[in-house]
Amino acid sequence: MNIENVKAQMRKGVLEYCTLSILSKGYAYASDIIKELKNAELIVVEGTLYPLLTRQKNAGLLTYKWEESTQGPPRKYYKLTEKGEAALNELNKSWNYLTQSVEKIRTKNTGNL
Amino acid sequence: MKKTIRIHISGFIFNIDEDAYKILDKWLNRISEKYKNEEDGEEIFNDIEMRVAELFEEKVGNEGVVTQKEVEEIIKTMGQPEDFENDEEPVTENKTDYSKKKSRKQRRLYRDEENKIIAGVCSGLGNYFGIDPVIFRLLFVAGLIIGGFGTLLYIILWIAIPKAETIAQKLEMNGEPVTISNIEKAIKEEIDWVKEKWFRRKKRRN
Repeated sequence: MNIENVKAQMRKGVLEYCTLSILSKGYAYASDIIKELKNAELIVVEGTLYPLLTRQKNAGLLTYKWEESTQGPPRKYYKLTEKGEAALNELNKSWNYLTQSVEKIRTKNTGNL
Repeated sequence: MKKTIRIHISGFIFNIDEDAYKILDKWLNRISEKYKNEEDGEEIFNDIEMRVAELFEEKVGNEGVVTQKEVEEIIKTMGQPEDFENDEEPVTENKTDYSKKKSRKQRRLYRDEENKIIAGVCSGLGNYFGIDPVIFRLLFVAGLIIGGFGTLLYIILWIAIPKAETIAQKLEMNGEPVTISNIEKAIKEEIDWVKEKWFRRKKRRN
């Protein structure tokens, strides 16, 4: 088992979930999403977010609009589509379920903690 | 003394010294190289470039000079292209890629009902020999025109070759060893296939 690989896989899934979660509050700019992910120590390098946003958009989970900015060129503001909201609901459920399962296993095997 | 270059990134203008420019250019090229073959690679690249411009602007303002230090800091923040994503492709292709299947290890002949026209005889043959089933289809059609021979042979093969029903059989048909991870993969594909089929049927009904 490659620990680094497992960690990367875990982080990837959680990152996708959290991005949707951040966007559920309404339109957000990529840099604001990054700020939030960084505060939560979920993102290591910023470059990760951009392909992820584009892929979620192509999967129909996100949509964006251009908005004028005072500091430069227009910016892309993302938000969830209906499909994205459904996906987020699904992931919320799945996350609760998963954390419960993990907790159950961990408390049962406290010797390992 | 250092020469500075005036560059233009996503609507921002910066002065950058020559060494810094070389490093930045090399790094951006690697990103563009990584995404150039993707349909939305350009969009991803532009978004990243935009962020770079923003970070420069935060660091040196519109008229400042970007030096090697700033470029290195930004590359550290953004990361190397190989760290952006895991390189396994998120593409889920349902159609079997016949040309890819070169290894004949543990391969067995089954009818492939997921890619069938009539009963999956030809797609099964295609899987087995690792070539496009269209070739077999053409041969059978040719046989049909010439003397009706093709029909008879097809029916015999239809009866003689079992269809791939279980996951293990489907793996054997594709020449993949029957391991847990392969079975898991195949189950996932199976679910997607059933889902898609169901959606199509539902769409037709509407």
